[in-house]
Amino acid sequence: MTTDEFIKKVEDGEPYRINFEKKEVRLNGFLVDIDFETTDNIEEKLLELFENYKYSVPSRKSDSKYFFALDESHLSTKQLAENEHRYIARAKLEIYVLGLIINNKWDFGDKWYWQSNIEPKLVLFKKWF
Amino acid sequence: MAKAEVRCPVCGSSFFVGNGGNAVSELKDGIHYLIPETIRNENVTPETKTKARLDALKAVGIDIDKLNNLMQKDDSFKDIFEEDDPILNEIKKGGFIRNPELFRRFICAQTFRLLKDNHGWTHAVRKMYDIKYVFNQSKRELCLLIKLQKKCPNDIRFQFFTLEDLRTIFAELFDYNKYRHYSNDTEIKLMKNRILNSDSYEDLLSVVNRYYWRFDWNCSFKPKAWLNCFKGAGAYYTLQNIIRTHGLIIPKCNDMNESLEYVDNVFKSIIGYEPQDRRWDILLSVLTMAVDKTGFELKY
Repeated sequence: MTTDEFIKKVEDGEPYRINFEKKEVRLNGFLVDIDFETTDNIEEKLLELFENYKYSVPSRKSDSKYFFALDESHLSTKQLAENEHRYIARAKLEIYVLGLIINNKWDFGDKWYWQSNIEPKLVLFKKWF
Repeated sequence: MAKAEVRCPVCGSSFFVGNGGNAVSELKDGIHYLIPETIRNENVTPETKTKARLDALKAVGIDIDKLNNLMQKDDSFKDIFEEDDPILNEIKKGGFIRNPELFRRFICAQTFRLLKDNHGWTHAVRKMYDIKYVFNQSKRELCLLIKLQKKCPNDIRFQFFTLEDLRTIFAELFDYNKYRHYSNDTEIKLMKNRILNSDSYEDLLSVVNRYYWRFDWNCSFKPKAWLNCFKGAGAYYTLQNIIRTHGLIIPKCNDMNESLEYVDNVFKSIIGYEPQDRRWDILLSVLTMAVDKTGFELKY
């Protein structure tokens, strides 16, 4: 299954769960194998997906334990009307990061974390990789 | 001298006299009087308090000369603000300031999200919300209306989800309840009549909480009474929000006040009917007509 098929199934409403430590993806409770594709411009795409997730519209049980997102009181009415649902934006972000983890495509150097200069809330940890 | 505790015979409060205590004794006409700290500080006049505050502001680095005019009752706000202040200009034009934490702004965002669908508002509602949402939302509304009754019984919020509407909503929902298969037909009729014959909001809540509710997420449910109320509440609160803060003017009116009057007239003509015959479609059509003709978009 590719990432696009996975996201289509999530948009249809199927429950999913992504775990970085065990490197697992579950759809409807069952384990699933996904083929990841390699792309250029890793940092730019990460930033795009993270901003999409940060300003998304929340609902119950839609926050992730790995990344930071804004509360609904910090969003304006225009953003509440036009942005994506957080449940779907989270799937897009976490699947992309899982692809980086499995293919081992990040350079940490000597540090145990990485923080971007443009968006200080975006942090990646070395223990995930 | 160490601290000693003294008790007042009239009110019973205790004071500490001596080193580190909060009361001081004074001699007056041969009698010792105990004066606690609160009464001692009442001799401070308002002038001395403001002086202390101004000195503190000066120490930080703020200009004090502009504030002195206000204290002498000159009523000149313009000296404090600059001429091109955006907030002052907004006040002068319309009288309302934009507030991102306005009352019921989630309804405004929700209706605009539903209006973007190509097939219409009702199609979007049926696609996005299922039977569980209908039950939870109507139950939440019931609890809120019970609280509102004590604070403000003349609120407009009572006109959308009335008692009769809520009764029909829960009676319709009861037909899709899975737990009703455990009882006979006569018992089902009795349980439904208990919902339909309740007197007040509190009565309805107690009946609804007494039953077990379980729904099938795959069932085809067509709510008529709930859709009507949802439509009315959504259209009314979005119109109020848009006209006052986002700057929408209805095509035949010239002003904000005139468009508010227009909406009020439409609202009052709909309320004249009984809750089963109210046509909230008309309010929603006012919204869609105004948004399409003026090319309106949310600013912030």
